[in-house]
Amino acid sequence: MAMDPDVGDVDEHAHLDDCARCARELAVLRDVSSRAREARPDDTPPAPPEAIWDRVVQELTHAGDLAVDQVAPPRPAWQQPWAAAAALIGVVVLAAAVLLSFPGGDGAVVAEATLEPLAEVREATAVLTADGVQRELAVDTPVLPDIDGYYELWLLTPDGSGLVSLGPVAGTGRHEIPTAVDTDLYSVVDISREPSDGDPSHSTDSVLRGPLEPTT
Amino acid sequence: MAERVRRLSSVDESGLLRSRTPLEADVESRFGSDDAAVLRAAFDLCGGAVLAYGRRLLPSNEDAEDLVQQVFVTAWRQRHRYDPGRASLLSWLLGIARHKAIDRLRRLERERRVVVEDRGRVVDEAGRTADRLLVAEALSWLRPEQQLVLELAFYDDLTHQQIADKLGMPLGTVKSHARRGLQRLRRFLDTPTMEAS
Repeated sequence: MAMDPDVGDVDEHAHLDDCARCARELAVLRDVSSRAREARPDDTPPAPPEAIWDRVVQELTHAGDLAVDQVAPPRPAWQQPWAAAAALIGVVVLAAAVLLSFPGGDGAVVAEATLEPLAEVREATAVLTADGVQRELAVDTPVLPDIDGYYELWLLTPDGSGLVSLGPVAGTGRHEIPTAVDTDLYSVVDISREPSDGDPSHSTDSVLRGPLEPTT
Repeated sequence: MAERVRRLSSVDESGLLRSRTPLEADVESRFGSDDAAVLRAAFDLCGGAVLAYGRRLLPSNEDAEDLVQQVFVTAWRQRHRYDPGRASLLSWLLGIARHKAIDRLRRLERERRVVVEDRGRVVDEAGRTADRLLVAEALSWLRPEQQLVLELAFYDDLTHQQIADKLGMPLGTVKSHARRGLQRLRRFLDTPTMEAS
């Protein structure tokens, strides 16, 4: 009846004349109906840019309203329940692997670096371990904003004259250092934003950087 | 008309207008929790509507994006105040957005960066924009047959009898889809004004 005045028989109309509760109900539904009629909906509005979500998280984490480890992964991981579960298991396994081996694991810690933000990201740490056979750089970055492309880990000489890539980096991970690389010379840890353009050189767009300090 | 029925019949096959993750489906009942994944789901579900609202009311896209940020930051801080029994999540978020947008307009006016000639018109516009976004959201949550009946009644101006004839559905079925659909729309549109500091 709220939508179509032809609906409803004589008894129903008579009832509405007498019953205040039903009449009020009908008035509310008529109002909802007429507002819905006027508000011919647009198509579903497009999603906001991911950068706004990053700003929400940043503001809340900076103000202490949200812990970094509370932050949800971006949407793709949640689009399938199994993907979410698999991602969660992956995180747990990775975290466990890192906890078991980082820093003490196979090798002894020989140097550490605090990576200072050069862009809107949070501080990160890197630990260099050596066991006589191989050296590894374990990095632990907090949530890095989603970008078009990926983040890459580098070792640089302090004057920037030399650099070597240790591969893409995401969150927490361990990166083997090639035996030919002298970490006394290549002593600066750097993480850059890299576009997926097939160009293997450094984009010069660094987000985190810090020198390795030997631990004694 | 033909186009609308075609669009809706494709909805019929999939059963949902747009796919929702399990988390999005019960984001309202879980919104008061401390799980930040729920905030993310709310952002995925409602962020676009909040942004569209901001673009409608505020002078620049940058203002609109700032509004989205403010709304979700405030929503997280005040999540314990959200009552799914009283309002849909989107109406609650748009209530916050309305306050923030009006504050922002006042500040811009004080800084003489905009001139609001007719405050009443801005408030009306805010209400109409919110209604449009809420109706779109509400329709998308309805069962496809309820959605089809309401759209034919609202936007093609058909009577219940005409809808019944058109769809080959008994009149009583059309009435019950219309009634249930309208009750569910009511939850989105007939909501108390949300106060958010």
